[in-house]
Amino acid sequence: MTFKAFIFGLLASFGFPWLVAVVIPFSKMRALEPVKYEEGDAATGVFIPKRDGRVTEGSKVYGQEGCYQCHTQLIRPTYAGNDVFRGEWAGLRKTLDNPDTRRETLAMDYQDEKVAHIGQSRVGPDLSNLGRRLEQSLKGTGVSPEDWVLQHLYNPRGVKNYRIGTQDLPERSTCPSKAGLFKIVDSYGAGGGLLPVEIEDGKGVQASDRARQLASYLTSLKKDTLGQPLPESLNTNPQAPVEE
Amino acid sequence: MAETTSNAESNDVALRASIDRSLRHPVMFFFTSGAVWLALAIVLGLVASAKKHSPEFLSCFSWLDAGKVDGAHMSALIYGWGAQAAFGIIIWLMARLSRKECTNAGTILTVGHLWNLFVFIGLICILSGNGSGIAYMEFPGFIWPLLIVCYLAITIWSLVQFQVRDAGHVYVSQWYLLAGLLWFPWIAVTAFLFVFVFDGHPVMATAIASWFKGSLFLLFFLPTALASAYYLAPKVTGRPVYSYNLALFGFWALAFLGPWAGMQKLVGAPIPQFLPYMGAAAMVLILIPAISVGLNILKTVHGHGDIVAESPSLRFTSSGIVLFVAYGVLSFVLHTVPAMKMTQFSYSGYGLDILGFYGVFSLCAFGAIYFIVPRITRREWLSRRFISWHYFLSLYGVASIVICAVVGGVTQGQGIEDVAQPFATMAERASQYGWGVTIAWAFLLFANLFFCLHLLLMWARLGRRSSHPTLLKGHHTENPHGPEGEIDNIGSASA
Amino acid sequence: MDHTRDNPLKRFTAFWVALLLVTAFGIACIILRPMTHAKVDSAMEAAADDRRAVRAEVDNAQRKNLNQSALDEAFKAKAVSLLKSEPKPGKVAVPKPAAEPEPASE
Repeated sequence: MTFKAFIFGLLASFGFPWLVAVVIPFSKMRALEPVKYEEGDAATGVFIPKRDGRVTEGSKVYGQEGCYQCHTQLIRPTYAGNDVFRGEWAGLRKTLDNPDTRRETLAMDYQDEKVAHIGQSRVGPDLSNLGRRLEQSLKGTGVSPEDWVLQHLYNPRGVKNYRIGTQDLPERSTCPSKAGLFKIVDSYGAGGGLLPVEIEDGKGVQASDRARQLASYLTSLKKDTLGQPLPESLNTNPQAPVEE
Repeated sequence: MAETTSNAESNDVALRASIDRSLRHPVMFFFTSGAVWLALAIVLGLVASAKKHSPEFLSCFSWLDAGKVDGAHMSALIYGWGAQAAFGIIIWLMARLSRKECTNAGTILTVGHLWNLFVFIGLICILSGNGSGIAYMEFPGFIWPLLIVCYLAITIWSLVQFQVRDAGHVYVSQWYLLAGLLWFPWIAVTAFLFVFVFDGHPVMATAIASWFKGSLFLLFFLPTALASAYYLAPKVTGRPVYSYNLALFGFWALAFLGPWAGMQKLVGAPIPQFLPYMGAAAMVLILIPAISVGLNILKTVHGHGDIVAESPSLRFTSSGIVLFVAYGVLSFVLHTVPAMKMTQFSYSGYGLDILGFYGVFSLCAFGAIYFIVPRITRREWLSRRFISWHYFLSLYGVASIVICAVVGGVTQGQGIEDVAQPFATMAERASQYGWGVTIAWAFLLFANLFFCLHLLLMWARLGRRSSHPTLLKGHHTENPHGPEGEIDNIGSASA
Repeated sequence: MDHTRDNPLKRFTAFWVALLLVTAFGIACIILRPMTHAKVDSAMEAAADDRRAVRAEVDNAQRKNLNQSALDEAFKAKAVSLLKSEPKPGKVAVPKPAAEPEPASE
């Protein structure tokens, strides 16, 4: 084996996967065709997903705080896992009030983010539709999803009103507190921006900008419809094998 | 005739001594600072693991928040310890095998300090919440080009040395060294450009960062470890490598599989479907190079059980190679299509990463360090007991981490797949295994405190002045390291 | 020992060859720049295309329904009638201003 043959072998054995697994998929994925509504859809024209909240900044904070270490944002297709059928991870189940909005993750679900937070491990639940779940669960309690998320970030085991099945989430949450994103301030003169959390007298808990960005991002996670009527061509809701 | 042979031999010894002397400072610097980073990375790993099951642990320090500390842990382990241990091994081994003194030790030493500085800045950024927020590439964007430039300034001299080597045999170790030296910048430059510079789809950024992590291990750390094993096994036993053809096959198998691995993390993500499955297939097939390398090295040391038992270098290296075979088998099992459903988002991936990075790479690196340091410091290791403890605690710790993480991960994944089970029940079940991982990290911490202390003492030139290497069993009249093992046979130790 | 392979020139060449090799895929990224930096259609662009199509349709319809000759005729007729209604001198008394102030200097 001469030096030249060796180097050529290395260049070829690395270059082919480099081209096929990195460069070409990259150029294809950045040129995805926009999706148009078709006959029979609830709207016309081009489907432009809308996400409320400061998605770009919030997504960055989500990454920097390492939330992706314990939470995923991926509803896998049924060939790769049962995510669609777990709880309300993939969207809302069919009830009297709403249709079945569950579906698998699409490429446009990560629009406006620098990087897709697929996630490392499911120590905590999938967050693809956290905003949707909160909206549903907090209906009628008078707590806004944003406030709930802020309280959860400050003290995950102290916040009420969110139930999974028959159990209050705080009883069993193993989420670590992100108290570093909050400041303890004098409640006198702090205005109305304090969390409804009791600490020592005369003091209150105030969310920093980063906490607000993160909360805004987390409540924007409603990937089932992306804020618009979903074109039927994008509806990746598989038929559930068994209705629970 | 006999006179010329002995003359050539003494020339040879003189050349080896001068090569060791020329590389003394940079290599020692890389090993000692790497060992300190390793201890730090293990502390961070312990904290990260503890927070998975006891969320209130150390919650008073917001810079040690769960999430950030995970990223800091892996970054310190890979770039603080792994990369620096690899640099030390690469520059020493390439100089020895090319039979060339290093003429750039000053540059390498200076840039080595810069490398440490940049890794440190990167870690501060991660812990202060200013990292990139990209899984596997947590250092902020500006750190990466600096690290790549440092890498080039440290290792390019080894490529030059190889090119100007005296004509003759090219060793198996040199293939791995040469390939690893080229693969690192190819992977790192591509990943940096495609993740941080080019404006693409967010899922592709994630996919390429995963590819970076997967191929960085298989194409940089693993080749470095194997280069060291292919050097030490024949050297210490005094036998040629078992089969040249098998070595050739193992090398090219790794070269063809490595660049595909990594994207298996994204099964089911909205990217072209073949990408994650190619990654998974590569991880399944990694069993092939694992078996061929394992067979080759273990056949080389076969029948020398006594040397494996008493030489610290060979004992660590052989264990690393056995664990490489275990890595291949585990990777095969965890990446089959039915298993992927359960292992994709569970602890088990972490278990496999630690098996690869600590069990394979680090054990081989320890083996190399136990061999190299006495030669460049011209002192012998102080304590047989320290080495023994380091060995047994390491082995015990890494085995516990891998078993807990993999079994816990599969339990966890199974629980998530079974939609009739509430999520919280599954999470609680998995957290039991989290405890096991935390305790295992504590074992590794003890192991590496012994190692770090021992290495720092050697660095301070407090090693034994002796011509008898430190062996793990009683004294022997015969020196298993060959004549070269006697380090004081040329010149004075003060050089 | 054979030292023929080692000389400063050889080292110099080897350095540049090594540098070229390690940066090979960085250079390849630059060569393949058209693949990674080509202009792509975003959803916003596609939506803008729809708006542009509507606009073009409106413009076309307007242009098609615009009868230029009839317009010209209508203008002409109006002009003639305006000309006819032009006041003749002496018929309307225009009061003279008593004392107009001097215009300000330019």
